[in-house]
Amino acid sequence: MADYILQVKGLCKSFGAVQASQDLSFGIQRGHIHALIGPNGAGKTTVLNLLSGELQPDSGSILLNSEEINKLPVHKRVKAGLGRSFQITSIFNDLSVAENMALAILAGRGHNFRFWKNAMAVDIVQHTLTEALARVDLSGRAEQQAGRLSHGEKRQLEVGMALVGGPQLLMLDEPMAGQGAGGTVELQKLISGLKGTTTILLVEHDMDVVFSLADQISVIVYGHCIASGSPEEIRRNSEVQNAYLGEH
Amino acid sequence: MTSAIPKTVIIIAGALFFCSLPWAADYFGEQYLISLFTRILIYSLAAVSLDLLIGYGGLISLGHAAFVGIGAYVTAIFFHHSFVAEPIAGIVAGSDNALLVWPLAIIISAAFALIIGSLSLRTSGMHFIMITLAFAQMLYYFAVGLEKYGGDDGLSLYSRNQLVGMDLNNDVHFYFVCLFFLTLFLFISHRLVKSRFGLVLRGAASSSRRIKALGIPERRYKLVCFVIGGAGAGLAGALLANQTEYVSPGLLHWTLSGELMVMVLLGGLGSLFGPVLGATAYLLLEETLAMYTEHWMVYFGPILIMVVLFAKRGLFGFLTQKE
Amino acid sequence: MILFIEQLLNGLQLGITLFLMSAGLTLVFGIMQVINLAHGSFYMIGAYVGATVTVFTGSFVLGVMAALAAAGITGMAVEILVLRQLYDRDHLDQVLATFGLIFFFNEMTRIIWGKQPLFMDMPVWLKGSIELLPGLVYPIYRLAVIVVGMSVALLLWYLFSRTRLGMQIRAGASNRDMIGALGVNIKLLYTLVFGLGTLLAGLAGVMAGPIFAVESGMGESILILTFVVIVIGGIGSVRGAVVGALMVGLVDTLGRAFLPSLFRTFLSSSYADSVGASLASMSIYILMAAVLIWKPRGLFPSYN
Repeated sequence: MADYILQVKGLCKSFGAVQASQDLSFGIQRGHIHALIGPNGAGKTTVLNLLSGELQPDSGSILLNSEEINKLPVHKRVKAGLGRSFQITSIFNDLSVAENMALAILAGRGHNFRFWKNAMAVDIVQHTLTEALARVDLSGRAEQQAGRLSHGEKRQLEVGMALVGGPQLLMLDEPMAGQGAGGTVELQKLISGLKGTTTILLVEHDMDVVFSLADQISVIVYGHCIASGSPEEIRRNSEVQNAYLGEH
Repeated sequence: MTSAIPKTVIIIAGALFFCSLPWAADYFGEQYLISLFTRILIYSLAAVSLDLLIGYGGLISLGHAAFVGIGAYVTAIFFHHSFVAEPIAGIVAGSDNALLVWPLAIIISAAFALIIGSLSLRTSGMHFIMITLAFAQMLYYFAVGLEKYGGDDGLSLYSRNQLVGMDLNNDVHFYFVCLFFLTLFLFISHRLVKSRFGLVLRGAASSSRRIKALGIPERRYKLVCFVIGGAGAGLAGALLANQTEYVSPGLLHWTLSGELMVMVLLGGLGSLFGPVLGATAYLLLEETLAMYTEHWMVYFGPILIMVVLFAKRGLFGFLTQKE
Repeated sequence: MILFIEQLLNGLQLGITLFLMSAGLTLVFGIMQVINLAHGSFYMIGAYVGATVTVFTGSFVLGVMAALAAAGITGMAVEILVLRQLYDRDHLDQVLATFGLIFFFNEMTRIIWGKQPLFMDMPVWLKGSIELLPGLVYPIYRLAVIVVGMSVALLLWYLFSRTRLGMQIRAGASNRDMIGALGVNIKLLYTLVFGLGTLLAGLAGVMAGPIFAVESGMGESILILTFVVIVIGGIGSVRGAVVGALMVGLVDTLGRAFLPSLFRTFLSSSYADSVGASLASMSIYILMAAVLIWKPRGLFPSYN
């Protein structure tokens, strides 16, 4: 019996007449990189929003470690172990890179109603900041204002921030989007380095990346999961070929 | 640019200027400068407290004058009851002791900020601006309706508060008391914005969606910021009531809220020391323009629009070239 | 009972004035996402120009026409010169720049018309009162304001629900991105909507002229009531503006009329008067707070 960290069962969500998710079900095994693919407008981002809690499903259930998290607000889900990096880069543009990272480090550790001591001098920040920055190759950029980073560096920062909370499941929403070839390689290395330690849900358009990184792939078409399996199985699946891969 | 001046140099120069001003005024025989600059110090305090809200919390409050007004009215009402020797509402004795009244002014302003803030923070964006404005106007009309305390005409104090070891009626003493409080508030604010609390607050102002994704309930932090800002404004109000020895509903009027906002922007948003520069420039400009024409606002309005459109970073940003 | 109906009509009249102010402003907020504090200035411009032209020509109708033209044209000029630069800025910039506009317009009217308030005469044919019901005598002018306001509301309803321009405006207010997709000339549409809004504000101003004193700064007190209306109704919703305006008009008027006497039933009369009056002036803000707790985005939120 596979050890599922996250299971989605019969999820439905509609916006007016548009069915963004219909009876969507899939499961993610612990330690895997699980990719979500599908044609444009298939409802992949909706799935992530439903999982993270930014959207509420009309029906169905989401289980994290076999416990239903449907009713939990965004920040409670984060505490429960869901980390997320956004599709549209939304780091804190006005803060420095180090401050961004410090904020992510402090977020998971008690309340922040500490008014006097400099945030950057807090023990846990002192201990982990250097390593957290190094992990995503941003040590040299610590004092830079985050809004002035290059597009690729913003992505790295984002992934780094999602990682410091030590999430059980990290959701990456099109991390390769807008990256140059060099950036893609860098990020790919970063993600495969996480294999085994962090479970990752990867939404990605770049099929080369998906098929080289993923342990499992689920294919979503019109908000419905038409197939789930290893990259090999997906490649051979005729339904998938018709619905999706055949287009290429 | 090479001519950029380091922040610390500006701050030290400013501190020296404000510390030596009374002697300079004395030397040049321009005593009125002391009261003008006392007013500048008090408005600076109010502007710095507003900068905490706007510049760091991203909370565009157009009702900040309400807290200045509350602080001033608390001071005046306590003074009035002490003067006529009649308990407030028949229960609490009045007082003219600064050590009692000023903390009360701060606490009561903060309490109002807590109520108004928790209602207003249910919304954001344009709603927030309009709602803070509306609540402040509500308090303005309430003050107008306070017949017992002069209603529309306001209320006179016959003297300043008593402070142990000081003679507040002496303008130089009072000047230094105001300077002390401004410095103290600047120091506290400076620590605050660098602290964990400040980091979260700045993060929330930068991207509220992201701060939620980090698992931080941002509204509470913004509310605390709103309350601290309200407390600072309350202190400014108490000082202002003492300086002019007079309070009126005008202190709660939204034009004062707008003026404070102008001072913050003129000096430099989110720079704490900038608003001091902004308040100084604003009040001196007003004083100067008013000398030449009573219609100074007709020039000031377009100047303000130009500043907004073309000089966003304010005087402090201009001087330090903070990139 | 007679008194109550009379106050009801007064409330209706205030509500209609507020509707004229808020209909345009809520669209400006909703479509252009610009917070405009200077809307009250166009109310003031309408009142001043209306009063002056009426005195000069002796014709109230000409006065009203001039007021509409002045407010509308000034509005469009302001949109082109100032507001247009602010669409992509944050709300703080918008607040400050339009605050600067208020300074300018208030002082300008003081320079042109002096500090003394103007008093505007009613036209002879609208003077006097008529007996609506036995015992209910009501000023004709106020009735006329109600009728004009309602006609404008109907006209707006027709414009918004039946014409192509109205559809575009509504589409823009509820979904800003869509309007570009519809292939509409956005710049022109913005200028027109802004001009329409300021024209309505000018109408409200000139109609208020014979009732209140025409003075510099008169726009600001009505502006804040307008904000309360928009917050209650929901930004960008004309329907919300109708409902909000009527609620605010009625609550404010009825509160001022009846709260003091209500309090007199259980408090000493002088105390009751002052408490009642204070509470009455705060009543609409309490209403706003209540709506806010219940529906933070107003009664008719648009989905932006």
